[in-house]
Amino acid sequence: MALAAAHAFEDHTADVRLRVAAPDLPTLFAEAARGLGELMGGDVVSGELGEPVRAQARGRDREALLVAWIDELIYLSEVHKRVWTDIAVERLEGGEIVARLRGPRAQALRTAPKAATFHELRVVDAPDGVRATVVLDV
Amino acid sequence: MQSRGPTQVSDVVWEIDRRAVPGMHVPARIVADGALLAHILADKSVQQLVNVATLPGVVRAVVGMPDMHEGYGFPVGGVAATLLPDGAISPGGIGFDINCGVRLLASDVPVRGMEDRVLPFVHELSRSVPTGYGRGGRLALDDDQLHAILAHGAPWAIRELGLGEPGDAARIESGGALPGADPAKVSTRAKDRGRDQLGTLGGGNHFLEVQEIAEVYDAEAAAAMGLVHGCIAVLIHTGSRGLGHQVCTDHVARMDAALPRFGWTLPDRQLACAPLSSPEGRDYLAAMAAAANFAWANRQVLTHRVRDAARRVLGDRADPRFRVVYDVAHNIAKLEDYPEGRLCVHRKGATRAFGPGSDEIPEAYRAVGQPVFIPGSMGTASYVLAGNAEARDISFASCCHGAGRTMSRGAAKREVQGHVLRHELEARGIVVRCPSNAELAEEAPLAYKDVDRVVDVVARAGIARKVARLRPLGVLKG
Repeated sequence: MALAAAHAFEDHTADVRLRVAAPDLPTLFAEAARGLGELMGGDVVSGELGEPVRAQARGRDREALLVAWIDELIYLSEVHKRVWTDIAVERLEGGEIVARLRGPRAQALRTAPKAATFHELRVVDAPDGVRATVVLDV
Repeated sequence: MQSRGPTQVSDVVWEIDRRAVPGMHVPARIVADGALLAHILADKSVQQLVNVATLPGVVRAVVGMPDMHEGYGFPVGGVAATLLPDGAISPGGIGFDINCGVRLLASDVPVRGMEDRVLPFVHELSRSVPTGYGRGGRLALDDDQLHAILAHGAPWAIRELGLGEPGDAARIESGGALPGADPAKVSTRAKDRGRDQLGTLGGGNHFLEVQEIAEVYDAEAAAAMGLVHGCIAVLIHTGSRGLGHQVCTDHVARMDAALPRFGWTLPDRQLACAPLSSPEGRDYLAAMAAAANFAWANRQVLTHRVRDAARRVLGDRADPRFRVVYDVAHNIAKLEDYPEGRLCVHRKGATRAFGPGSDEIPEAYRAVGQPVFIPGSMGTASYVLAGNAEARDISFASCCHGAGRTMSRGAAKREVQGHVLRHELEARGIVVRCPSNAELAEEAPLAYKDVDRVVDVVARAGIARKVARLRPLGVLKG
């Protein structure tokens, strides 16, 4: 039976550790984006989702791609002043991810991550899907 | 790599011998007493410090400060120096918030007789200083202005935008602008993020605190620094905002991709680094300097806001002028000269602490030593110290930057209710402006080490000596 897409946050002294699980890699990346959105906005964000924004990232391996993806989301969030809640991964291959994002305007952010780190970064295949761990600097 | 525990080598210095773990080039030293060491050993910071001791070109020792705690790659509160020309520079050894730092402003406004003005002063500051994420500052820079800020830092903001006084720059570390800054090495993304963030505090543990100079320990040094017992001071803690974060992101990714070319293997991928002599190393140093200049300009704009607010709220009853005491960076790399040679000193969650006579510090302080700031957690004391000459030998002239976390944000929120903490602080007469009770709980004092103990250890180690203690009157949090 395939893994259900899920994410969870774990304690870290000064930062936040995000654990993600999914049946496949594109779903994992979309779920990581949802986790980031939850961390940033929580329940305080509401409103229209706006026009889709194109997101693109590259990495030399899956781990670097995950870091680049989260950093792309943080960058786009900051310049568009939105939190991404609706994520559609269009392509994930050859070390590149392309997606469309929508989300409400950001009001009072609960947490403003600075970036994803390579610290204790893992993207691991499992019999029922794929799991990842990434530490975010907050 | 696992290490055995550190052994005590002097009163408040512990060491892990370089032979204890394969790959270490130098020992790992920790400045702490027994109680602080127990906190430090409870997380992975010692292992991270050992990892830093494997960096190519590292010399003498890597040093953990009394407030050290687990970070990502480098521990927070860690110092490491690498030898030019080919030693490593590691953006993670500076951090994402390049030149996060602290600036202290002092005045001759006595607290006594002005107690009724503290709340309006904090309120006026909260109106003047944007906090939180994504809220633009009052300064939206065009391309030319942003380029100039990146190249020339605080002095340009003072001279061209009128955001300060002529004497301010001399009281900022490195005069508020690092040489070698190159705006062209800062990506368009970083510029996009920072364009409307000058003059903003940012979130997390950033703050602006109104304080009283409650106790003076060293009258000579306090007089040199312009610290008057019983008068109001303001402490500003912020950094380079999204611009700096993006610079670090960009260059960590670049160095991670380039690592195979250097033939280096690292125990932690977040230690991604490059030889200082390489294009990657030179470009990062130039971009880091530009981001550092942005941060100094940011604290300069906030200084201007404080002065404006003080004139409006305090000016009818006292001389409202605030002067810059000093401004220190606590996430930065500096090229400095030591007996080993020209070194790149990485300070992550650590500040410089130069002693008397150093030409690296303002002339006004050369008789007493560089001002060093150790802010406590919210509601606790902050301290001003003066650097000692011995710090060069102990810690590459470095000191800790605060009290250091002992508890995760999640754990703090489980232990403390933000609204209860808010009431407790207000019951002690401390005005609190923080948009979120959850964020308040994350920064609760119990999540941090005991700042009094941290400062005591710094003094016992000989790094710096106490000059003054500041008590909080009001805090504005991002």
